[in-house]
Amino acid sequence: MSDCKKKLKRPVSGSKTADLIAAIGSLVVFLINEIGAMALFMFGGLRAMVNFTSQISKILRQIAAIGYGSLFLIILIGLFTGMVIGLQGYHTLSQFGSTGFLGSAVALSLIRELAPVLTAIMVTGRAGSAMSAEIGVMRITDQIDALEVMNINPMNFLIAPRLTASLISFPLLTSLFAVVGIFGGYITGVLLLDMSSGIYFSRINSSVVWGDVLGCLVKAVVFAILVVTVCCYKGFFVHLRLDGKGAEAVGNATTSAVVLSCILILIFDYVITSFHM
Amino acid sequence: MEQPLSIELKNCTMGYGNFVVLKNISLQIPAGRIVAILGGSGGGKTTLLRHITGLNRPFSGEIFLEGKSLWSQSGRDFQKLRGSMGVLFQDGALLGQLTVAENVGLRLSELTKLNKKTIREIALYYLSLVDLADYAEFYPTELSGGMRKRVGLARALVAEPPILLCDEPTSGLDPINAAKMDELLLSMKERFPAMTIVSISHDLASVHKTAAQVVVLNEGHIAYNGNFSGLENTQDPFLRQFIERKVSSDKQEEALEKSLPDNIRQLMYDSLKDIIHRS
Repeated sequence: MSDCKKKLKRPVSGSKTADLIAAIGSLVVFLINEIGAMALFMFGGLRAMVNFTSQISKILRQIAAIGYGSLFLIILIGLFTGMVIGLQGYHTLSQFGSTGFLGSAVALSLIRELAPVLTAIMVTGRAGSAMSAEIGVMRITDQIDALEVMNINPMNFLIAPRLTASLISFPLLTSLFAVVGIFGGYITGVLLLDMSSGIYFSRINSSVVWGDVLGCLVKAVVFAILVVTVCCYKGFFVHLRLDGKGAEAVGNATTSAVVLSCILILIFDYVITSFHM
Repeated sequence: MEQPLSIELKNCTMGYGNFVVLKNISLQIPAGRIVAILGGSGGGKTTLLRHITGLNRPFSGEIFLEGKSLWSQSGRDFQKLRGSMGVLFQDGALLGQLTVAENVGLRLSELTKLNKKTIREIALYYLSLVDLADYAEFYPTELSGGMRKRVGLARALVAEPPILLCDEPTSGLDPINAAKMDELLLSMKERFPAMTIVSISHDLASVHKTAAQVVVLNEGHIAYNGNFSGLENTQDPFLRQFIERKVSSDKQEEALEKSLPDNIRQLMYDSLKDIIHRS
């Protein structure tokens, strides 16, 4: 009997190559399943947003947690990012005698890339991880089951307010990051390195077009949907994880939510930029 | 006249993933009765409750609530049928970010257009039934385990559902609080006579006090279904072990008689001697 089982388990060829192909196949199937489930979860959340008028208080609470709670972090990171770009940019541009373009360099790099990406990554670390952990704990303590038996749709109750709040907060935080970053570049270039303030701002004015701002906001909206989907999904299905149970699973879910969100932010950043160029 | 059935399970096989917990279960629970589901840990009591509430779907068989097949209903009808149940989860399953009053009124605040003041009044009424009206503004983490269960019961009672399901309402409670919970269930029965109450329990004293029908689960099957006096007089070896609280198997008895080998015990003492003082 046990021989039969062994024979059944072994791949037909019995070679290492076949095992490798089988493992890759399983991984691909798992990934496709996961992407599909996540996409369905995202559409469920977006559909639940339709009833946002009845969720105002929950949305405001989430805006306070995601947006207002991240303000200080975003201002701090934005300021120092702008200052560093200002410093690096000034020394690089001075080699070509074109320090006058510092304003353009700071503003374009912030508005096109750094503001949406760094904001999304910072908010993922601060609010996304909290979302994942909170929903994960709710799952393992039967709170989500309790909602279901009370006929309260968890997508309406938990996911939609977070999604709406993120769609409002991310573009605002991203814009704030860019503005504070430009001010950081101003501190380095104009106040510390004696560049003309008029040139700094006139270059920004002449180089930044509405398309750049629109691209920045599109990225912020896409990243908001990505971060909330991934973080809430990981918490929501924490009970199905194979790498741990209970509190350990919540920890693992939170880690994987943050890591996956950051990876997806960078991948989608490239995709959106390539369409925009 | 025969009472209508509140809950009926027909040949249900239940479990999770590929793991079968309960095999071919058939059970009838008449309306307006208190029924206790008994069984050892891991015997499938919570699994049964999760399937009755529609949180999990049985592998085979059918579950009828109020005469309607739960899984044959679609969308809104499924929700309506599930709305006929109030569920008290094992640890209350209260939402940590909401106050006690908000938890109790949650169903109303989410599913109705009642104003906040009315919902609060309703919540306070149900909290007063479980003697916790003074704790309305507390958060669940600020309450004891017994209090959380009572809040869970108040939440389950909102809208006075025809079926009340309680998952181990007395587990983890001291005898006084466990007795209070029993009294509470009995008083709920008096107050809402048409309500069917299904209570999962380990606690024989509590079952004896409250239940009109007792169902005992063992190894994935129903080992007993009848009244408590029938259970007391049964000659079935498992049931006798169960009600006399005997050690359940030879294997376990053998394990209890066994002692730790001396060399291993000494090793354990030696490794802990800097941490634990032993005279």
